[in-house]
Amino acid sequence: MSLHRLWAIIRKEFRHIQRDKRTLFLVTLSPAIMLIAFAYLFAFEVQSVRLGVWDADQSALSRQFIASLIADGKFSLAENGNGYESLRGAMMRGDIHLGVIIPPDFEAQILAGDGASVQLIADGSDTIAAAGGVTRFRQRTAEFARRLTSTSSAPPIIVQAQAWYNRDLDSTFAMVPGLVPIVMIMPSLAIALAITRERELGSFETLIATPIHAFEYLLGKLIPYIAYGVVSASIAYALAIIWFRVPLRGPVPDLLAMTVLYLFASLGVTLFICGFIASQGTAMRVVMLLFFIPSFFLSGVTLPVDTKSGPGQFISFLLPASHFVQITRGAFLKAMGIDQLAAQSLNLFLIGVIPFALGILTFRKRV
Amino acid sequence: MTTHHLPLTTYAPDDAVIAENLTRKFGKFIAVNTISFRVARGEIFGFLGPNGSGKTTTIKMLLGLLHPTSGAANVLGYDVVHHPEKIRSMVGYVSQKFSLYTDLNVIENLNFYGRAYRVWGKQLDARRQIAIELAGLVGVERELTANLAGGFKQRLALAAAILHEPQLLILDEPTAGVDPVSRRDFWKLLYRLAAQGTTIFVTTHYMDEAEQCHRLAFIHEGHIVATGTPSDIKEKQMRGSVIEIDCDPPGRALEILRQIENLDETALYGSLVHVVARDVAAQQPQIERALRDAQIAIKSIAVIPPSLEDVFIARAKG
Ligand SMILES: Nc1ncnc2c1ncn2[C@@H]1O[C@H](COP(=O)(O)OP(=O)(O)OP(=O)(O)O)[C@@H](O)[C@H]1O
Ligand SMILES: [Mg+2]
Repeated sequence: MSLHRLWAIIRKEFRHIQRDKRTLFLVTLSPAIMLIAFAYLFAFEVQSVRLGVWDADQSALSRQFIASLIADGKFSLAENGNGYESLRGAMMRGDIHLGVIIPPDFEAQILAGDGASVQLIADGSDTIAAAGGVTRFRQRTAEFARRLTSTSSAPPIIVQAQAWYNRDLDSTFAMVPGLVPIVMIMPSLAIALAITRERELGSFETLIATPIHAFEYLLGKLIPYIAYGVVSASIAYALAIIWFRVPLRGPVPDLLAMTVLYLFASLGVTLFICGFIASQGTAMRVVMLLFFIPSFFLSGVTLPVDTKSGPGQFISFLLPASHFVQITRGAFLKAMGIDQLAAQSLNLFLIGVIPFALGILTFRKRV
Repeated sequence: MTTHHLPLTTYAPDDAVIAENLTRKFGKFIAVNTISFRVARGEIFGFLGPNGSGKTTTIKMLLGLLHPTSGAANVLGYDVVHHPEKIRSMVGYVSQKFSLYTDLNVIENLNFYGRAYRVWGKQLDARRQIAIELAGLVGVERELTANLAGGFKQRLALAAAILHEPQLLILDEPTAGVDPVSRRDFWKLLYRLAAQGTTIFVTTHYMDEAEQCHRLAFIHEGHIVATGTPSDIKEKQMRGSVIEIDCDPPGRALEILRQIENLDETALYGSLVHVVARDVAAQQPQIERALRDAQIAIKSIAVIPPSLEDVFIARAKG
């Protein structure tokens, strides 16, 4: 192990990044641009949020209200409950995103001009569907109320949140921090392309003909991409705060430290895998298949994880994004620091350090 | 994989490279087939052979980049399978394909490879300066490697390979595709390095370069078919003499000549046809008659001393 040699590789790697426009874009602006695209896509195109309804009134008006909610197909009625417990159970199973409770005097109170209050419970696991669903539910309810010819000045229907309902879901863009783990796949893609490009160009062969050690090579690759990864994550965070107006309530240094851990994990896994890949094309497909797509569906970013059965849950645990999504949501919305997110941070460290060590052990200075 | 250490008795400190029954298979295909050779310290050793004959495969085994399927090799006193790192720190390698970083400039590339070989600080500065002057890179130090002409690139690759003052320099077709003037300059450089005591192992397709080596080995389809000094090979290993015919059209002439018995070999060199036979002078009238009958115009025909290439082609076929 030679620090001179490690430093030489780090410097060379920084130069490669800075001199190649594609790589530089991947590790600086591309996550922020993807974040904008995804945020708008999810905020306005949340498809088929599943509702569970407990209609305690069973009146003509309550049935009209339910029909108006599901009229355009963006809400679907997945459960007809008969009590809090049945809604709670359906939500635990992941059958529904939102629970609606229509009180027994719903019709009577509206007709009396007193205004009725509808209770709403949302999936506490912060899925995008739940977040988008709450906003849409409020809009639909307001539209329905407007169509009622009410003489009273009091609003005809009030949406009341349950105690275990997460208030932060009320913001249209509350899901933006949860999208950061997905868009932060880009540094992994960049490092995978860089490693395989070096192989394709034959530079790798000359490099391994020098007395360079696997540890120096891998760490020398990793460090510049972590550094640029922090830069790109910071741009994405700034975007979430300034553009999407999501408050960052947790301490900034903690969030950045945990971002480093996430980059270490995702880049560590990528480095290990790339030891077995020869071409840039394969590298790109493997990163997409192994990270991007599973992170989308199995990390809890778009769907609640705890609803998944055994194997899904296991894969989910191995995905760095699963842990980091809890970190970004916790830090942004729940003011959590690294002490409260220690378990997730430790998981990220382990997910990174094990493949990194394996990468060193399996690194073959052969062609 | 079965590999073995060389028996200790066969190792001589005067040898920079010893290969014994070195073999490498890719699946069923045998790229290098039980070759044995020695390279003495301080010599310029030319490793010659046509495309796909196994030169690069041999070099990769000497550097530990490929494991032999069987047989063994020892480089600078170390076994290639068991101590590749020891070997790598004492060897400089210029690969067949230019492989320095094209997005780094000349100095950045040299600094990187110097440090990779554990040369740094003042020592690196001094040696880099010497290498730059030796390789004729003065004035292009800050030039991006991508913008360098072919001859400059080759000299840069050489400069990067000598910063750690290697005892052995392995060059895989270092002058392929480079213009004749640059090639001559490059060989002057190799001579200077050899004069300083560096052992040089070089592969080439160019026969004029082969003539400049101290010793040669010729590999064909994985087998070593001839070894010796250039003059040795020409005198002893050629079993016939050569007749050179300048005629038109030469391709057609080749076809005609291949139908004549008693001729060992016929080959085309540009527009010149070379014919090899035991007693070529006695065959000359028959050759002329055959060509004239086929309406081929003979501009000149003469018996010439064999070139290395003639020898190698004859050896490869025989
Ligand atoms: N990794 C490999 N897998 C399969 N076959 C290979 C591999 N590497 C080389 N070969 C084959 O082995 C033979 C020898 O290749 P090698 O590169 O050693 O030839 P060479 O003498 O260097 O040729 P050239 O002058 O074209 O560089 C060729 O037929 C080549 O196709
Ligand atoms: Mg070759």
